[in-house]
Amino acid sequence: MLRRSKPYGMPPRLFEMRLASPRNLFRRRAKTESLYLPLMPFGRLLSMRIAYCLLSALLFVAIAGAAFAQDATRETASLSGYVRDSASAETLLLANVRVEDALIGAATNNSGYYTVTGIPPGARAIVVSYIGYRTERVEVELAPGEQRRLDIELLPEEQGIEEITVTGEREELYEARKVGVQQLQTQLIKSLPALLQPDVFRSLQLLPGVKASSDYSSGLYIRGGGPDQTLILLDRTTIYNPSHFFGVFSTFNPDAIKDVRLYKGGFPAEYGGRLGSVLDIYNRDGNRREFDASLSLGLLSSRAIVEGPWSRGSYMLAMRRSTVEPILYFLREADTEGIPDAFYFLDVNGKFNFDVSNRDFVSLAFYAGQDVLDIEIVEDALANIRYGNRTLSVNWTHLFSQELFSNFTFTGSQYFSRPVINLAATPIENENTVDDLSVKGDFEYIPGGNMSAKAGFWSGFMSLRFRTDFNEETAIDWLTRSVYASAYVQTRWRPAPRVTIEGGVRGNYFEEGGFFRASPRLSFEYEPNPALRLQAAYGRYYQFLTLITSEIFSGFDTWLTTGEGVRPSYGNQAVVGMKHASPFGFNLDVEAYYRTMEHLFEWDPFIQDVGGLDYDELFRIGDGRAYGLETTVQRAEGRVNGFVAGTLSRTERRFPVVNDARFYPPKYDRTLDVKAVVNVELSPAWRASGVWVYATGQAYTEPSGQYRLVHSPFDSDWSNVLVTEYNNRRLPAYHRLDVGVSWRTRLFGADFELQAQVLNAYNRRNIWFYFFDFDGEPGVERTEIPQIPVPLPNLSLTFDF
Amino acid sequence: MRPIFAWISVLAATVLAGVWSGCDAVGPPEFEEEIVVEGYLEAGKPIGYVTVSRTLPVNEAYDPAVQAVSGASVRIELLGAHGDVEASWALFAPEPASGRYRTREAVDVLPLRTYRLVVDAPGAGTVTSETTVPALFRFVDTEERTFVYDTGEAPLFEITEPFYPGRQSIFLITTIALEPDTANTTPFYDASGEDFFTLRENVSPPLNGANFDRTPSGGMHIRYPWIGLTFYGLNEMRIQAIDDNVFDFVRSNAVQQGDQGGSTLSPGEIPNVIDHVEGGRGLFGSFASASIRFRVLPNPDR
Repeated sequence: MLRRSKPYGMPPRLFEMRLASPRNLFRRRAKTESLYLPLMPFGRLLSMRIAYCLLSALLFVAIAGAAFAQDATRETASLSGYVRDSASAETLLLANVRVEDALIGAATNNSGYYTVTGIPPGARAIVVSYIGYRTERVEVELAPGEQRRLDIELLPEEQGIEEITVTGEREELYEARKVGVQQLQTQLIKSLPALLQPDVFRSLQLLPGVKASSDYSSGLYIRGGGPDQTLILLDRTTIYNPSHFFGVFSTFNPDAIKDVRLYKGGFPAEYGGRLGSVLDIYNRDGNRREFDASLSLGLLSSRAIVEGPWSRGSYMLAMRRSTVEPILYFLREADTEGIPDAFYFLDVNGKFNFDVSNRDFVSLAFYAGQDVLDIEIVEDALANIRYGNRTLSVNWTHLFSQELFSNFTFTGSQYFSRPVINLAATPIENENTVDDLSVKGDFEYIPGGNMSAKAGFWSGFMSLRFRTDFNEETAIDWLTRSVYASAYVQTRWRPAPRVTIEGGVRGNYFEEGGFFRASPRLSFEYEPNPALRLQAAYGRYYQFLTLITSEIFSGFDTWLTTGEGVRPSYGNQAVVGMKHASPFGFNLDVEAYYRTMEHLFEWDPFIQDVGGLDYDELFRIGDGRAYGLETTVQRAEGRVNGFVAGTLSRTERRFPVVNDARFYPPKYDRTLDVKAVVNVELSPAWRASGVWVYATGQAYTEPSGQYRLVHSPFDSDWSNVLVTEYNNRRLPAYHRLDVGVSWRTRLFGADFELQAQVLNAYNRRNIWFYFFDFDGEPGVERTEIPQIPVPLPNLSLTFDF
Repeated sequence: MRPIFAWISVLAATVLAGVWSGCDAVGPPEFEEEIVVEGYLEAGKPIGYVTVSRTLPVNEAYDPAVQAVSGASVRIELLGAHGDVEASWALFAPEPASGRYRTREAVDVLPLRTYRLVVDAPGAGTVTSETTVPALFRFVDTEERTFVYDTGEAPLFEITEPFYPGRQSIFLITTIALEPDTANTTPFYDASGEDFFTLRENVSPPLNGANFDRTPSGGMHIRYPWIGLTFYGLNEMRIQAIDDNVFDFVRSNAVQQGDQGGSTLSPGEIPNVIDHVEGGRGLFGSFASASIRFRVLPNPDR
């Protein structure tokens, strides 16, 4: 029998850890949905029927288009192959491949593979480009109906520092500039000034439409969505808690990463499962040419990576660990109180690739990361906290033919959080885990002509455990198991050379609650001229998961699912955009978006004990909306590169009880965001970088009144009461300048780089939040809790052998 | 239009819009004075005092004497099953300036009945609130027992099954140190540095009845966690079964005061408390209570 009781006077967050006891959750979640299929609500049947109709229609269009295309391909030629880095043979994702002087081209896919069809026969020049690489021009002679395999290698610009020049011919990354998409260059992540260490999420927070909740959080708030509304994939595997140091850093080691792509909204049918956005990250394959190693020593963390060729493939192994122990040692020696016995994070990324043939490629990738904190808070109060992620994925890429590309992935992802706390002889042990096993398959069919299609599936089994032992008794033992499945089909149609229409539909099934939902997607693009692209996209999105988290501490993050009485969240997104490439090397991107968020199910913040509650009583159900305008001017290459991005936006939420059930701006809503990022190559050896961020102050609650209960028979702490409207004011505007400089040379036969950085360079005292204390005189005292309060230096050394 | 003009237009429009909207003119709300009521009905005990006061601006010092509302018309009504008034008692203020009102005669609070508080304050309209009183319960064995801190199983107590209409019972469990002494604190609280008087009473957050095991006799086992104990020696454990008003007030005020945007809310997001008072603020709640004494000795092995 499950039992629970509660400690007295415990820190509130510890109570949150010990959430639900619903001893009968399993009983109420009996897997009997199939018995009730005939009784399914009419609406669900209707949505299934619509989905089937859409799927059938799209398949028909794809097949018919393919058949129609067969005639066209007899008269034209096609090219396909991989685009790689010439130095390491690493595949390049979303690289541009186009036929010179023709509106024909394609981008490499997530495996670095491209197919260009409909090429007029004869002598043609193929232009291949990628940011950070010299544009390659290949001349080919093609016969009618020829299908040629053409693998292309690009030379990195940094091969010779002295050779860096502003590329004469501007080649924008076509796919990376689709509506709602942003690609982040790994080199940019490493070069920007960073809080203690380079960080993927911190860099993403600099993009327009992406907000941070504070200087101390790497959480992503994208176009009005919270962190759980972004699907985070590492080598096609879901990551459930992407944080180190309890939210300060993300789990992704920039050394190991090849490609970071963010779909901020309006994403296509090949992605699903989240309401807002998708972050798709790929690890590097490893150098296929030669052994390479790099070591980076930072003040508070260090990184190492080895990579090289083996047999018919490559390997990569990257490791990162915090190195705060010397500081902790000196603090302990100085008798400073509250210094942890252990405090570190560690992560390892690995990838092994093997080319079975020139049509079959297999890779195995893994990630393992953990955070550890052992601390005696005060006497008789010990905390041992462990949390982390482990992933394993096996990927098989198979080329059925030049027209049909396929990719199959088996993924395993585990998130665990196991804090053990002993307060006043009262042990409290928690275990929060997510185990997710899945298989996914993607097919790309490019038959030629003006049609192409993608289809795929993703099916898996998810197990979520939440267990709490309090005072040596199991208070909660909550296990949710659910099968999930989704399938999609999407077609790309070019009715005219300058017009592209993409349509798709994704069907989603989630066993927990027995929900089936269909998500249509549609996008449109028109190129009036080669420099200008007008874009629009619409999509409906569903989410079956929700995250219990805290902005302050991510170590106890807990995922919950839909269930009895808790339907999935859903929302619509509409995006319109304009992309313009100027002749002087600048890109101008403008995007406007509007999105709705319906039936948001979030953990009810007023619940302090869930014993005996029904599942739907655990949540508050609300809705939200967000809209905004993002403008970016970017110079991607050259001695001076970077971008300036401005975002005007509004995000609102509405939940029962809070703010009298009226819309309010959540804390992360900011009306205006301006971000400027600049990198300057001062000389072959010296480089400088700077980041300046300005943002309207975040919403917060400024109480207007107060009262006291003077004769309460309960705890006196509950006698002081503030009277207020919710989030009725704004903090002072936020702004901060981070600067850095790096020096590169060769030392002891290795490339050497020294980076020196200062965050908050002009010592801006930004405010995180205000705390209102009833002990103040006179009245309630307001205390400022600052963001990074002082200029914060950082130093790192990198050796590349 | 040449591209350069398009660029300039878009950028200029963005900058203008940014400047215009960057000044987020969301000012603080004007303070509006409201009536605050405070009254607690304990099952089986006489109706106690009801305090009537006013809210005040957040930056002003609180003085109960200044905030008290005198001259209010205060009454408590006993409601029937259909909301009809079965009985009504007018309250008066023995000391008019105090803002504290009581019945003229002793009126016992009936468990499982609903009471309404009606306050007409001069110039402030009518304030009402209703509460349904929890059922009575008691400790099965009231003998004073002695335990040694942090040895063996935690102390176990049995109470009769409480009842509240429409939902499970919800409790507050308070430990009151009857022999508090600075040399007598348990190790954790000794190191916590908290105020001596604050530690004397240690109260739990609201606990749902479903957490506790039922006994064969239909009662409920309360397993006492050592974290509730702040002082060795003689202690009193008081269990209060609370009504919806107290429950909502306590749990929402814990979020407002204890964490100020804690829980799953972002720091700085401060919700109002849930008070179930129409036309004003405050708390008119009820509870049933039972208590027991027990003694705890220090553990010589710790």
